[in-house]
Amino acid sequence: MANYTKEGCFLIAEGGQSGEELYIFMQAKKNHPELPRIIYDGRDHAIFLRNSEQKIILDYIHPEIRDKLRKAFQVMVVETILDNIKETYPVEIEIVDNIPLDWNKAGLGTWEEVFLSESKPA
Amino acid sequence: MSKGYVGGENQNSEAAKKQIANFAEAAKGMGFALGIIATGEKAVNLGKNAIENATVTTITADDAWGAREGEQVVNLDGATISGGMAFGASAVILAYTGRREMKKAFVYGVKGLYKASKNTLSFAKKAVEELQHLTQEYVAEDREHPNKPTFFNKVNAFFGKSR
Repeated sequence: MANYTKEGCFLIAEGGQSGEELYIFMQAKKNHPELPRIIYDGRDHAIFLRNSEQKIILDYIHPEIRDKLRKAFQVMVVETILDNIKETYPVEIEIVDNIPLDWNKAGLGTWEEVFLSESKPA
Repeated sequence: MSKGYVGGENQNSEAAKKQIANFAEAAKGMGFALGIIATGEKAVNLGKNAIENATVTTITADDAWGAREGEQVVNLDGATISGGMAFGASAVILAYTGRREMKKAFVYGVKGLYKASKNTLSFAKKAVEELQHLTQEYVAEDREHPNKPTFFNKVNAFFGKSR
């Protein structure tokens, strides 16, 4: 898990004329992407392989968009600097049965553990 | 109105909330408005915006403002801005004054020009690439008809010279 970084904050948006296209907004990264792809198993987290050196965990994907993300063949990644778009590019989604990473080692739990427990009254 | 879904463990920090607002603004610049953003805690209703409320009509030959026939007019919060006029106006004013407040007019203008075409990211890139070409087309056309009451000709008359 040493070579992976967590995105921490990103936005998956429905767009396009029919609203069927998916866009993932995130902060701009250094260098340009090379053969980017996203590996996803339909659960809490996904892996964004931006290039050979950048492996980014898209952590805590909102439950309501997971099904659409799982069924998508491709998404558009939008990298922004403040509210300006640095670059946009298509990224293929590779769906797997299970991402073979131990999320606990990255300090990640499930979406329900983190966000539903935060909303509970003290 | 499109919907956005926030991800990431840091989404509830103050910095992240500002970043999410930036994402929504970037999406608006791309031509789609995020009306609702669902976070881990709650759905935040951003409310309606000018783009969502915009109505589009087509200019006829009787239109006297100098907008070109066949252009589409985007009505934003009561202010009517023709696609080509806003585009041309912002390009010209930017060239003359460098005023950054015309940025939004430019975006709306470009969006108006390409309203009929696909509303995707490629539209945004294509619009930027064709910006200079379209500006030159409008400028050339206006120079051929200096008495036509177009915005470019009015600006030229105001400055007393032709660029």
